[in-house]
Amino acid sequence: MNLDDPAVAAAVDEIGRFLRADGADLLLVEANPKTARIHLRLVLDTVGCEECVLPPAELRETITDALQRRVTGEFELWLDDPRAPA
Amino acid sequence: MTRMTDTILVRRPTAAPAGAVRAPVFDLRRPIAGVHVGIRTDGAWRSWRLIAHVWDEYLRRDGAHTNLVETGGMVGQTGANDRKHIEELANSVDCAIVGLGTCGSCTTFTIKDSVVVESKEKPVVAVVTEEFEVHGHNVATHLGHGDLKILVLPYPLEARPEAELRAIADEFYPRALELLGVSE
Amino acid sequence: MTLAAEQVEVSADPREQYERAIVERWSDGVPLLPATDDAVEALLAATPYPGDHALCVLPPSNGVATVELIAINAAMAGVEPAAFPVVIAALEAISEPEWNAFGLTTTTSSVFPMLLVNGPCRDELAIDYRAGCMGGAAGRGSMTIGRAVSLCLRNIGGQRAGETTKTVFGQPARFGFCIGEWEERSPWPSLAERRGYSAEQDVVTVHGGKGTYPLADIHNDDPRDLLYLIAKSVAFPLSNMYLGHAENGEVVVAFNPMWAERFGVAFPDVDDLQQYLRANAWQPIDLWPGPNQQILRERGRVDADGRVHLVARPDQIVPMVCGGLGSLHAIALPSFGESQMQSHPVLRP
Repeated sequence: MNLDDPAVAAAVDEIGRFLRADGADLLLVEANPKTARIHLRLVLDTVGCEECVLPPAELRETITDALQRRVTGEFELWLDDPRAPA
Repeated sequence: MTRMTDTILVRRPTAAPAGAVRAPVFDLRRPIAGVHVGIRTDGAWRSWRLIAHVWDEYLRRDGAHTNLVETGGMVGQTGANDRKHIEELANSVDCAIVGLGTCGSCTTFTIKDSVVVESKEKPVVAVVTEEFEVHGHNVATHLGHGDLKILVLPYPLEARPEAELRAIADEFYPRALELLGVSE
Repeated sequence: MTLAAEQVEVSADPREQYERAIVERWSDGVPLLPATDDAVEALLAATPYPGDHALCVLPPSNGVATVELIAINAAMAGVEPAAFPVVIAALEAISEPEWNAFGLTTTTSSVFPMLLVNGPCRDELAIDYRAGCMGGAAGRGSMTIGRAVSLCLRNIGGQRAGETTKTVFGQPARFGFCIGEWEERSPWPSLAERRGYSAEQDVVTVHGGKGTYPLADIHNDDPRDLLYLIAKSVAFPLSNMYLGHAENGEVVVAFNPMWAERFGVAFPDVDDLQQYLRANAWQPIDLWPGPNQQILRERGRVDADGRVHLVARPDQIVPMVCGGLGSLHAIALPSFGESQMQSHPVLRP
């Protein structure tokens, strides 16, 4: 599996560009090939309109789709979304 | 179409099976009266336990002394205890009847335990059922005891009713004595 | 290097080699690679043992397994040199007396050595431990190491179904079964660590397994409930482990990583997890028909509450973490019973 940083970074950047238009951002915390975990964090500190950002479930689906197009093999997505229940 | 006619050299991957050496077998060459006979049963097979007890009764009727040992373990403490009991049995008797081989691994261990007795230069009969006769002979050969005497009982045996098992015990008792080399 | 095994001239054509291997009875039915001197010598260079070292005797025919003969079979299976020491370690474990190769290679049961690998070599050698690890992932290490061991048992030990082994059905693992543990996703120490090895060591543990027994649940996320159901499932009434002594044998239970994480929260100490599984791995004596009940009672398998426990001790239920991230499933590897799993470190020059 190619859970390498460039592939994951490219996916994060694709979604990040889209989020940055609304003042949010997506950060790569860690992509660990040994555990097959991709840990991302949604940043809403500078967002102007929180409702404009994709809802949590839809955002997760969009990120997963972007990752699956670039990463071969299985992975587990950990997404820290301040809006989602803990 | 291109046909490859060249050859290459490879190494043969097989090993020769053990069994070139055949250990001697032994006969009692005397009447059964006064002989110490060991009988090994197996906790897995009630049918054999019944047959063995019938033979035990007949042997004592005919003047022999008997010692019954039941096994069932192959590894761990139970396996170690069983192998120790077989060693003790083999040391203490004049001859032995060892059963029952009526599955793959239990046949293997029946033969293995029989070889312990034969290695002490004593007469022994390994008891297996028909389905496992060839397997029993193979295992004995690979242990270097290809001439080990094997008594073959009908198969299947385990689920037969008691009356049938007693009839089988009666039928095969003389054969067991014959294989032990009992003489008149 | 002088090799001792007989040289055989075969066609260079792969299809003719396949036919010849069948005629010679070297074959497991699937095409083999030619065991040329180059291939064999490359493997021998990867082990500290000399080629003429008699590693063990393999039943049922008690053929002597020299390291050279093992290398020949490994070359046929496509084992790469770096993986050859794993094959050696597996055979060393198989030939430990308590593994009971003598019984397991001749039984009517389907049992066959199942290789469970720990250590850094898993990734280096493509030993599968993630999705499809028990079939489908197709890692070179998994497929060739397992097959090499199987070929050794066939060609050196003479184990042939219907001839020298009484196995009634066999099982798919007889082609070869070699998987790794997903140590990085396990909340507990690895199988090898629990058996006394360090995390840095490559270790092969050989389990006498009867097959892969699939378990699934899509309804319940509670870890204790799931583990209860797993315990009851592995204690199925026709388990081999009810035929012998409760003290012997182990059942391996492979948890997928998502379930393992959940179980690890409920049972951070693996000993407690094993205690819980053992405490629930039983069936009531009334489940069995009369004749079976009698045998179980005679063997002392029924406790004061009328329960027949699968195993005597918690350590006989052996958890390991592997498999994919789809969750929902576990797999048990039921034991033959009269066999104790054995571990051996992988030794390199």
